[in-house]
Amino acid sequence: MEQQIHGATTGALKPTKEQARYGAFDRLLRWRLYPRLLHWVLYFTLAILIYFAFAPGQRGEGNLATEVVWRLWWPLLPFVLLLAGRIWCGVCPFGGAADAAGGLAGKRPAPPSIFRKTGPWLGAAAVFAFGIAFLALGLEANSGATGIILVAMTLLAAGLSLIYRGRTFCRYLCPVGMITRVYSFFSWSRPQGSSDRRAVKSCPVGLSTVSLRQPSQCHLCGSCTEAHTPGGITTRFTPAGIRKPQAREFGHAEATLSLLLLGLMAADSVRMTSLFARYQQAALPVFSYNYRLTVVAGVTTLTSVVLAVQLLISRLGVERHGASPAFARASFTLLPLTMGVFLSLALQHLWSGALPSLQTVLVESRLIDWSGHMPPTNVYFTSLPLKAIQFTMLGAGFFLSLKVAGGVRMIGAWPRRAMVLMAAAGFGFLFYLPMSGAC
Amino acid sequence: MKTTIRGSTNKSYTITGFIMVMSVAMMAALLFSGCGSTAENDPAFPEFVYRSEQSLEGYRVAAASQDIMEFVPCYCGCKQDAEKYRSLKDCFYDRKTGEYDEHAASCTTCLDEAADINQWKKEGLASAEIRERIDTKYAERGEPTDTPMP
Repeated sequence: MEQQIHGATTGALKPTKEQARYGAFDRLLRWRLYPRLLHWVLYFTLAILIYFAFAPGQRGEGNLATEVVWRLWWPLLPFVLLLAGRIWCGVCPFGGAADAAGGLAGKRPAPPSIFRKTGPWLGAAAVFAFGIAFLALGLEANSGATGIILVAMTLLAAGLSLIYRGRTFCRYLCPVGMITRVYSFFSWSRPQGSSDRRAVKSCPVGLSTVSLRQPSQCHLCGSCTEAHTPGGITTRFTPAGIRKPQAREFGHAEATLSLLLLGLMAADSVRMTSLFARYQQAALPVFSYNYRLTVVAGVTTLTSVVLAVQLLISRLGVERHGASPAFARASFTLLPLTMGVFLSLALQHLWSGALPSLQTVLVESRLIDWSGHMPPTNVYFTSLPLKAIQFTMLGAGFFLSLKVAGGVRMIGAWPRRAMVLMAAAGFGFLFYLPMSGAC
Repeated sequence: MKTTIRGSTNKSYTITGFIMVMSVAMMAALLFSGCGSTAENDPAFPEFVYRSEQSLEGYRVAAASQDIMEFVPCYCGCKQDAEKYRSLKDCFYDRKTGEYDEHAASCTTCLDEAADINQWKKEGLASAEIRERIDTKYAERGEPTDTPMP
């Protein structure tokens, strides 16, 4: 939806009462240097990471690019998302590259309608492809593939912005953007429209800063809240809750995406337990001893099972309604649980992966002396405090899912609760097992 | 790919999801079928070997290059247990029993060394040259095991 607010004026305007009440987060969005300063810092970081990813003599494990991207940024992303919404999309260097390229290109047409029609589906496919690549290629220890992904995303974001108006890549094709979009319903900082119509700023994702009908699309990029410009979006701090989607905000593509994410997270959870080794041992002879093919087959099977169960569940409850939203609504029910799993897995990666990896990087850079055995990064272990936090997150997701299930009226009570219970029990079993930080 | 948004049933959307999953999976399978860790057959490895692709590849190299690994030192810090670890081979095979040892399955240095040995062996280097290259490359990582020269 491309909307602009016309007929308003800009310039040094008197602050409104609404502006006087801005909290710290809103003041950040209105900071003169936001997000440019962070963009420059992240451009510099991205350039260093791309260099290290392709530098000769670099290893996958212990490589600065893989360590920063997969053991630091990726596990931190869901926590940032929970606390500050899609702020990553606001400061993301790919989005920044898109904005910069758009600024150079001048006037461009809006993205063609095919993007609006198929965009979310393409985004969901991109997420699944990204998930499969992550699991099959072992991106955490694959610096070359990590570098290719970083370069490809930068080029795509900038290239599409040279052709079309706004952040076309971020809005329709970016897998990270799709993930942050569906999980932004849980963010404690929720963007909302402003009643102040004086801001005349074109939103790069085509949102109205007044109505903000689809808050999950908001990138918090600060385009509508630039320094000294009244109006633009504001945020509301509402911890530990879930925002119900607005009309057309959580359609079938997003519903399918949430199920794909559930399947991918199940696969990632299995990968971190010894069940994965057992599966590989059994499946490798079937797939001609090709390790990556067995991973692709396992992930596809798990995801297909999730989709099949969801089809069954949503069919069970729609006899009287027969309406398509049932599928989306039933899928939305599982989203809090998936968010709990996402946070738990991220914590697992941070706890057992990031610290040993940091140690390895420091030792190999000769920044610290270490005479002992180099820290292994993928040994299965059980840490009681970690398990306690993980089960708390999983439990919170489970109860929130049940709560959401209570509000879903399109399907019967027992199928949706059975679905939540089944998924929670499966993840509970996996989290009960000793896990590694990475594979 | 089915792209119609309105007017379809739940089933059609789930089928669209299935088609999407299968399409991406098939593309990934085609892409990955020619690369990564493959083998014509594997020895009867224990379960821990299959922990990761690097681990499997490392044990495959160990099974095929025991004669080289015997003369290659390990730089992972296992020298601390000098009785048990005297060469890279001991990180993959138990000295006493001759069975597979779990140590290397989660040790990046051991697996990196194995990958390098595999690469240099393919390039046609002799054991002594491989030893020399390993010593040069891994000297910064730590203390080597007390391993005899080939």
